[in-house]
Amino acid sequence: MNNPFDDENGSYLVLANAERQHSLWPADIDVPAGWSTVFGVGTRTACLEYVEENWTDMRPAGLAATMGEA
Amino acid sequence: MSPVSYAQRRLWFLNRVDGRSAVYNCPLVIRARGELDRTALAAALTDLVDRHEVLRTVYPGVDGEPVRRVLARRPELDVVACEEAGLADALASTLDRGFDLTTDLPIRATVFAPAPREHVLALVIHHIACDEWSWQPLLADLATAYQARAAGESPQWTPLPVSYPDYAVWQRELLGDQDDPASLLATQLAFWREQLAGLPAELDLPFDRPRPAVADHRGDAVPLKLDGELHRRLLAVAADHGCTTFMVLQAGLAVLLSRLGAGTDIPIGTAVAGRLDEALEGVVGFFVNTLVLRSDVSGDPTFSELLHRVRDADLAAYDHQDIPFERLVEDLNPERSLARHPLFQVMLTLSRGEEATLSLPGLTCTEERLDWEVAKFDLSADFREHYTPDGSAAGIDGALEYATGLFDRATADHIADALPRLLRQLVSAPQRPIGEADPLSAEHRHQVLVAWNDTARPASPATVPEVFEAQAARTPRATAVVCGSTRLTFAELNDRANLLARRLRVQGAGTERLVALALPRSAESVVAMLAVLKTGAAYLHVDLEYPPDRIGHMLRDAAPVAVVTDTVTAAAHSFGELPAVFADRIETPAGPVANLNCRVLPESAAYVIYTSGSTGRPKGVLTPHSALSNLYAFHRAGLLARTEATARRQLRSAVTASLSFDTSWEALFWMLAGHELHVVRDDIRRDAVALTAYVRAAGIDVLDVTPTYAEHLLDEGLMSGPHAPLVLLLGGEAAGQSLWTRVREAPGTLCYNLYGPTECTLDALWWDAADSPHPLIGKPIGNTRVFVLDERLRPVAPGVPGELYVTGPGVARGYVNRPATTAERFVACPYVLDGETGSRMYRTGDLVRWDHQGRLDYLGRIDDQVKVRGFRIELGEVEAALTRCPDVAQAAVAVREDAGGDKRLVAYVQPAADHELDTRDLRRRLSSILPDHMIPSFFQSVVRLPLTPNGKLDRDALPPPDFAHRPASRGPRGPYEEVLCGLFAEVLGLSRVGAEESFFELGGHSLLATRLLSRVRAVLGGHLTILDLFQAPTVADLVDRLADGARHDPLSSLLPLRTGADRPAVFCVHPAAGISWVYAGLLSHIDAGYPVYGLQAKGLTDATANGRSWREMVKDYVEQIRSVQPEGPYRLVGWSFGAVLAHLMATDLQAGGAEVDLLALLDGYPPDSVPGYRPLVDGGSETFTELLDSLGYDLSAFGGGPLSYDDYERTVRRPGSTLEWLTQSEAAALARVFVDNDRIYEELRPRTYRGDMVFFSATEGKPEDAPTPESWRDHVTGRLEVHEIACGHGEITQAKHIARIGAVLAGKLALLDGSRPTAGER
Repeated sequence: MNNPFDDENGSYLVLANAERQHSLWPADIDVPAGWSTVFGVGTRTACLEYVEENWTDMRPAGLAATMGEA
Repeated sequence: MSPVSYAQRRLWFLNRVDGRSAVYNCPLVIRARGELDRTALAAALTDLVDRHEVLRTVYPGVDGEPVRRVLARRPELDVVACEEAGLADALASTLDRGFDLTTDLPIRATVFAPAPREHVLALVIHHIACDEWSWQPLLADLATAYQARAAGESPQWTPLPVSYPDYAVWQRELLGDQDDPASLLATQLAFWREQLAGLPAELDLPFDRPRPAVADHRGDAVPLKLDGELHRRLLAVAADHGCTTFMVLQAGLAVLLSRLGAGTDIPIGTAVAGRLDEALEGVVGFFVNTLVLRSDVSGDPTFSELLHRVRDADLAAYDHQDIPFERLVEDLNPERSLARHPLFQVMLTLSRGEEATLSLPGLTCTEERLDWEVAKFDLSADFREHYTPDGSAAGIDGALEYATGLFDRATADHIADALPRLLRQLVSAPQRPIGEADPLSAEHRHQVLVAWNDTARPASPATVPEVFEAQAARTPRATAVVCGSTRLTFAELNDRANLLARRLRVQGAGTERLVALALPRSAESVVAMLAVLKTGAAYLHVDLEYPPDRIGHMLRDAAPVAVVTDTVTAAAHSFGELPAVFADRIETPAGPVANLNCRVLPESAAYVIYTSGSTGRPKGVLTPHSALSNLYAFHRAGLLARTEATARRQLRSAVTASLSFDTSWEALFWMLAGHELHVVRDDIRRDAVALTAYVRAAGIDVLDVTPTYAEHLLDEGLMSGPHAPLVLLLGGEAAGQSLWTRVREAPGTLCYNLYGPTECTLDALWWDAADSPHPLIGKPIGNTRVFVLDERLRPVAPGVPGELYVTGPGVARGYVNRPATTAERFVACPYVLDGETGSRMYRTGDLVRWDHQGRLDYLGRIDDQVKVRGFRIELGEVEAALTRCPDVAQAAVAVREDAGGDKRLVAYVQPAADHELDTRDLRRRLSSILPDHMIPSFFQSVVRLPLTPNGKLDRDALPPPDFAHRPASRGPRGPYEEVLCGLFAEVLGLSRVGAEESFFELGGHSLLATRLLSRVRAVLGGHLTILDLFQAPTVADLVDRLADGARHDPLSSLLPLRTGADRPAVFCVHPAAGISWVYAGLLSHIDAGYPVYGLQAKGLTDATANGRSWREMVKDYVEQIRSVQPEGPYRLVGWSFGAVLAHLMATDLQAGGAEVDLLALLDGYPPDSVPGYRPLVDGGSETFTELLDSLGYDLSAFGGGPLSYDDYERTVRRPGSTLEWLTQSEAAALARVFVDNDRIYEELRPRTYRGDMVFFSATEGKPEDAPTPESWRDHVTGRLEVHEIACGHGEITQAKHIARIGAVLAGKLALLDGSRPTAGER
């Protein structure tokens, strides 16, 4: 069985949630609640490159904020 | 004699295999109300059979082939009185009875009369004489005949233009000769060969049970219903696409099967009438043919596109429908199996209008619905299409027949229910891709998404350090950690951890910082883990056994602020520029050290664990405190509470995994709850025998191991005796059925199967083995939800395989410094709970399915990740490491099972041009990059790696490894080596192992090592440890470490075959050749508690010892055995010459007042009983013949001619001979000893032994006048127990025969010393 995240020729989005966590997402599947598109539609490679360049602080935003307070 | 048709021939063969089977019965049951003229009906039956010759034909076999024989006999109409209540049973007795086609008429008719004016007619015809299209003419003819007979006339009907035998002849003529390329047979075969090339052997359906080895053909059926509205739409779509209704149904069924897990290449069988000529329409007989229709649903086409594909394929198939299915199967010869139908397992038929029925004058006839009880296929969807009188669609109904050996009714219901739902979606939007249609019902959707994921429970805010500190405050003086001789109380552990934590704070440890732990396995490791967590930082355990390169990568990648190590470790390893905190230089706190009061944030990182990465580098999984807390809370309230309630005391849990694996928390949790944690030392935890002993000695209650290791521990008796652990946790890999059954049978041990990748924090799913007879990974833990999703991330129904996704607090934060890899594995979750938003789920890559009770069954991986002995390995990482080696052009790695069923990593290497595979070099290079468990057991050179048509590695086409192909190694020297080589081969699953081959290079790993050690202990005794094996991995080296470290001269006079055991020894006396290693074969059969010694001729090493008298010899031997065992009872065994000596020694011992309670003689006789005995002449050719013969050498190569000394020496010293390692002078000494013993033999005069004697008599190849065991009768006071061994005199100590002898001796010893089991039985 094929996984929808592993299609080298597929079209994808990059989603992000309120914690600034990023997710690759198949372009033809509805975007889940609580996530918004930050990149795409694009190729898998383009999407992953975007994530690599833009998701630089991998801490959840809430944690980063708490640590910032502390 | 006219031929039978092809189809008849196949049924005939099946009937020969199982004539009792009713699978090929065609039944029809009609209830007739009114006045039945039974006489007329009986006559009509005769008329019917007269008209249709096939109904009175039997098929006796001639030379194994069926021939037709038309009988004059007519069937009887049986009339049976029965009550309505008994009707079902009465019917079953006729419907379920088979036919013997060689003698029985293929038709049976019975009338039951359950009430006045009420009759039930049961007609059963064997399929060999009937098909679905036969009923119409048959019932019409029966009605015509009845009407005539009731009126006192005979039926007037037009004679049939052809009969069935005409058809059989015609069929053969039509098809022609296969050898004629222009024949219909040849051209149609050619079509089907191409059409069905690469057909899947078996369709994967959502089976509820594994397929039985032989199908029982039992079946049942559930109704199928497509309403008028759907029928209309279906007709419209069919018309739009130039298709038949059947084609639309077939396309829909193919999509459904594909969505149920059957793949995208879907063969479906169907029946065609086979009555290709109008003349055949009125004929009763077996004309129907079966066609395989192959639907290609790949590439997610639109339904329109799929219909075109189906139409094209079906039309081509119909054009080639003349070839009998049986003939096709013969030609294509698919892998045959009694378990499944060949070429297809799912059938689809569609017929039109009402079913044929009987109409008899004065009677109302209705067809009785029969309970389906047979299934020829896995599934068979049989539809009937209905129209209103004005010709509009009135619906399609039918039955889905299913094999009850494979499916539950619930699954059949689900399929029958899903088909119309899916078809409705497909025909409503034929321009949409078929993948968009969803067969899942709302009810199932709710079940799998919500009901089975109802796991919510209160959040657990306390982090691990808080839980621990609270526990330390509650029970400060209780023991918290034990490692070797170190014991720390909770207070001591907390104080030490606090002290170290303060030092780490100084080094910068804190929230979202990492601290590396590089300590040997010790209580200190636990102190260090807690210390790091207390600072708010996360730990990274460095496995010191990993290659420096890998450790270096981990440290560079994770960038910890410091490393906790000790002086010795730091000297042996390089941790770069990292600031080191030396645990061994921190003084033991003199008094309490206060907790730190650092704020540990639940979302912050607790630890990082590196796992195998498919691209060639390991990746670090970062797990937050909240994940660990959630799992702890779940186990605290469940497993721990449950165990505590039973035990009502402090428990002991043992951590046996490497601390660098998260699974070690499984044991640590118990400590957090106040129990005693045992950190088991490396040399013990890896050795099944030692670990089992530790569990017993230390009274361990809780043990967490992989299923593979659990098998070994159970073999060592973990669960037997009074000290079985209370809790056994299995995890890390799939548990097999045999282990599952064994742990379920263990009384008093609670066994949980735990599932979860590191990315989901140890356990996402759990199951209590007691609650299922077969292995399951079960249900989600608290606050965790799991989804089984298809390729569009939609949930699939129970029974259908899908990929497992996990969401909940246990999902890790991601991979350290790998945003892209994190974003593709930790993905947005589409199935959120109320009030939840933006949550993530981890896609596991594991293929699973729900059962009908909401429990998950593990099926395998969807990618190239493998588990070997619980270690998670990405094949890609090993392949990347291999291709980085010079001299390697390409490489592929696969997991293969060896002969013993053990999983091995096998590397297929394509060497660079002009290079040869150098296994040793590759192994050395890999071990500098990869941890041990990732190094292939076996390397195989390939010319080229197999590729798929798209140029990817074709893993399925990798050849099976040739384990036997290895460079030559010398054979064993002496009895120890021989036994050890045998044990190596046995454990490694190889046919033979040389003395200088390394256990590990042959694929041995630590688990197999423990099995080997356990076998060595059972066979040779001694106390070899795993360390011995690591340091001396060859037989030649290992043998030195046996027998108290001193290597014994294999020619010494007293040869200790097994020492160190505490029971009375077994002494074995040499045959005339003077050597005693022949007795080594006894070791595996006699319990390891018995030492075994061989007595050997002194002349082997000392030429001056020859020429002694027999009295001197016996006296010497008795002294030698008394030197190792001063007191009786003595146990003596002797073969041939040695038998007589043993007898003399026994009587000597008895004369000296010692007890001898076992005397066993192997085919040796008193000399005075041997007729015409003639002593040998030294150097004579007979000497060498007899010498070799006496040791069981096969001399047929010499053609019976006289042997020279050179012949003798060459034979004895040739490679593969047991004596190959003898030097020239030793071989000469052996010959001299043989002649000397021959001289002595003549003089031997046995006395009388007081007691019972056991005798093993070789029965083959003896002359008529050879002495018999009876010749001992006068030399024994007690019983002479004789066992006959079917072999020649010289062969009696060969493995097969000595095994029997050993078993008898083991039994004797057990009787003498109580019922202790033998090594073989344990």
